[in-house]
Amino acid sequence: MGGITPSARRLLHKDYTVYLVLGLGVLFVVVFLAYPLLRTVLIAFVPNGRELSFSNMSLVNFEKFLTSNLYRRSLINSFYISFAVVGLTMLIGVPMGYLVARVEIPGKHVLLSLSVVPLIMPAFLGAFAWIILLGRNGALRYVFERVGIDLPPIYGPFGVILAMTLMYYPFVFLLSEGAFETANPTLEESAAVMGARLPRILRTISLPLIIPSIAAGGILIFIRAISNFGVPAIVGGSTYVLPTLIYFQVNGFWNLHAAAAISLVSVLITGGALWLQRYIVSRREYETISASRSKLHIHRHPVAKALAIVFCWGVVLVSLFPQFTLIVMSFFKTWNGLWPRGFTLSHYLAIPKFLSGPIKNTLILATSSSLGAAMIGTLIAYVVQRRRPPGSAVLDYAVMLPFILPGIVVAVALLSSFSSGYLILRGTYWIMIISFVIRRTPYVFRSVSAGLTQLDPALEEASILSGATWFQTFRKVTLPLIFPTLASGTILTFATLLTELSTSILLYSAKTRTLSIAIYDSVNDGDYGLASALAVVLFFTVFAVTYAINRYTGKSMAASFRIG
Amino acid sequence: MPDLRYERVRKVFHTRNVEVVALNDVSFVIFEGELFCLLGPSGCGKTTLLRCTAGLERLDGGRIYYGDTDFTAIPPFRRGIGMVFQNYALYPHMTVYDNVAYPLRIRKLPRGEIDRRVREIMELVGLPGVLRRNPSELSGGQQQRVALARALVYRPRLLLLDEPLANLDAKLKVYMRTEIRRIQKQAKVTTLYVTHDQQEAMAIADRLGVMEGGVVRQIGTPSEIYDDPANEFVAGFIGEMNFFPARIISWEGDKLVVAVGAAQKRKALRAGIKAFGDEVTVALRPEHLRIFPSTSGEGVFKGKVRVVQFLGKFVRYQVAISGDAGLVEVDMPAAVPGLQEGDEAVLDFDPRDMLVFYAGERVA
Ligand SMILES: Nc1ncnc2c1ncn2[C@@H]1O[C@H](COP(=O)(O)OP(=O)(O)OP(=O)(O)O)[C@@H](O)[C@H]1O
Ligand SMILES: [Mg+2]
Repeated sequence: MGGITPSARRLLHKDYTVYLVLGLGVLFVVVFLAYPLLRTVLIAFVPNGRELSFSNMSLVNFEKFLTSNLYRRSLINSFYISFAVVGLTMLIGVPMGYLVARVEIPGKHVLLSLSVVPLIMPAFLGAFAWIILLGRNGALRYVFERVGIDLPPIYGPFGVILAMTLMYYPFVFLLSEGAFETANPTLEESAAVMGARLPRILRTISLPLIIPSIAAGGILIFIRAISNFGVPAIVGGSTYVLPTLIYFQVNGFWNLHAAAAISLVSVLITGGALWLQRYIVSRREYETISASRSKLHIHRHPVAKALAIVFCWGVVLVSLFPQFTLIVMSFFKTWNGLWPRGFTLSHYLAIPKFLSGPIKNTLILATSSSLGAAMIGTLIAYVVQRRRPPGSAVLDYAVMLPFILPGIVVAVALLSSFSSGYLILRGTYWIMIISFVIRRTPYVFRSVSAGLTQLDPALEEASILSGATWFQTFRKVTLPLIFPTLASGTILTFATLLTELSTSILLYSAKTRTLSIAIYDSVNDGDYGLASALAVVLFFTVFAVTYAINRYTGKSMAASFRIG
Repeated sequence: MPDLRYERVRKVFHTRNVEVVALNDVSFVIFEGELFCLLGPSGCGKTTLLRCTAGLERLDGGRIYYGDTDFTAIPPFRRGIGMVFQNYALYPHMTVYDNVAYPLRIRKLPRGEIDRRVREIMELVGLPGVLRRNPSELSGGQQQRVALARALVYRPRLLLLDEPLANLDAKLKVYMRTEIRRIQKQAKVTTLYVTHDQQEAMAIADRLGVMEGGVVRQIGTPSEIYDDPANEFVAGFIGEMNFFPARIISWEGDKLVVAVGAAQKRKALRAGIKAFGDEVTVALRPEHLRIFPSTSGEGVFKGKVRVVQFLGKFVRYQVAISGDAGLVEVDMPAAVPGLQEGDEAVLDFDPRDMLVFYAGERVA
């Protein structure tokens, strides 16, 4: 190689696959995330029906929040409902966490396992079940009326708050249970030695210690509640919140510009909340974990026990009403008043009709999207973690961005970019797969990144030095070693995609209708029996998948749902 | 013939606005077939130099040549280097056989050839019977041999070892270091061996380089380094050494007269030394000092025996001398009659054994 300079030789010898992979990842992120989001931000400033150009820009779409009653009420409802849900989940979850951690309760493990069941249930199915129980002729409403209690109508804020509270309280409960269980007992003991009574100890020691982590958990619930589409869509009635308002603008008027503006407001709120959450977590500095757990004081007083049993088991049982209700409903023709009437298997017998359509679509979409998310998330995580090429920090943030995007916002972004122009994807499988991949990649990315930090880089370096290119190294060393994490992450992603509603509701077409959509439609058609039967099938599938994964990874169900 | 040549190699790490110069213009050569040890205290840049050689770190300056080729222009996977990591880095999801065969499979060698070479190399490292096991089912010493086999199986032109014995117990360490030298010589592979254990380095190396703070302070054979340290750092780092403050009295041609303790000693100046100040340091190995009971005459230093240790081949005396806080160590081939702990003693030495340092550098 006489005339070749060292730098030229370096170019010839170099292994370029890493840049190729990075390039593909970047391309995907740019085309299907950055571009649609940018476009969404831009069209939010352009009135509906106008060209996207600088001279057309104005704040018209945002002025609606001041001028339109519907907008204003939606914004207020979003905040009011989300705050109520956060408050109620705290009121239920924190005491329950304390009781389970510190009072001797029979069946504690069963209680912990059962408490996560509501988390596995898709939100809109829970809301639907509460309609059956508390609707105008609902069995539970009947019981309440008999004892003279007049409940507010299920359609409206009451239903939304009820369904969300019972669905999200396990987050707070698991978080505070864990915190109370691992709290340093010497702190409480020293207070007791100084003469403080229990309520005082609780108020001055135990609670303040766990407040930062509880607050962080509360903010996550706020983000979930304010982004949730399924529950307000099913039981909101005429009470609109931001996600349903977005849906209304797109589905009712095909007004993507208005939807974009509402989306922007919504993302600003969730983004701000997430920032606050990060801030609180970063400030959480005191040592609460103790080395010796045995000394933790466990209350055994009979009154305390009785109270704890009634409260904790009561909450768990009530939160399981939806599952129970759907199972019962799926076997009956009607359920008006106390007892369901007309036992039938016809709802289940109708399911085969859905096999070739919604069920097949759901399986195809969930499978291909979870594999896509796994592939993209893994490769980008690997490149970002191990190779740190220039610009990888930007990629890191970009991939994580969908975390704060409500599902329906992703749908709006994709619709606003791919309904016309060079690449028309509206109504295809592709747009749904892309939306699912975009939304789920952060989960894979995060778990693979965590897996990689556990993996000694020397293993990969040894492979490189023995002559393997980075791709060979990735395939033969890295991938087999992170495979368990990756597989469980992918299958969990698959399980969550089986019940996806908030993105697909705007993106589906007759051809790509999913099971969730089919159930949603049956509920709206008043076909409760069929909806229930489909819901039961869906729920048990998701439950089985989640359960299998937890057995495979050896985690308890409760452990895999702890947050914060 | 030089095999590996470092020319003003420089590496700087930036961490949160702090610059750490891990390698500061390092230049030296390693000869073909040689076992070269890099020795130095923790954090002096040994691992960094090794990783730069392998191409796992990018240089911030200078070049590394392998023969005539500029190594810096070649990506790590094309350098043909074998490396043994401190924690061995065996692939936990592969058997021992697959671990060792891995580099050959990457090179797409025929199956029969792979099999032959794997068995051959396992024979060489003295571990033929464990091919079907998983790395986790091996002892530390066995894992060490497998790592060595994996690094050697593709006949690399260069073998790098980063503290390969750090995780073994003391006895196995001594055994494995002779094993590694045997294997290295048999495989005839140029080797760069990093350690912070000076005994290990002295025992195993053909030549060694002593590093401090990103700089190579001296290069030489073990005996050169031990007998003829180039500076105070190497003198203190390798083996045991007593340091005494001293003053220059006069010059006699190329000889120097220094006042140390109660005596004046003469020693030839090193070539090329021009001028320096009065205050110097005199260094002496324990075996170069002699100790007597104070009744039997005058010496260079007076002191009190604090500890007497019988260490097999020699007897070590630890002596507190007046005007010095530390204990002076003296090794005698046999116990000195009539000298017990607590006795007054005098120390003397032959001026030819004395090392003189000015501002850290050797002058005589
Ligand atoms: N990746 C890195 N980022 C920042 N600084 C580093 C990095 N690697 C090494 N350093 C710094 O460079 C210096 C040399 O480190 P190096 O690992 O080469 O030391 P060493 O001689 O191998 O030490 P040891 O005997 O403890 O292994 C140290 O100050 C270390 O902190
Ligand atoms: Mg090191």
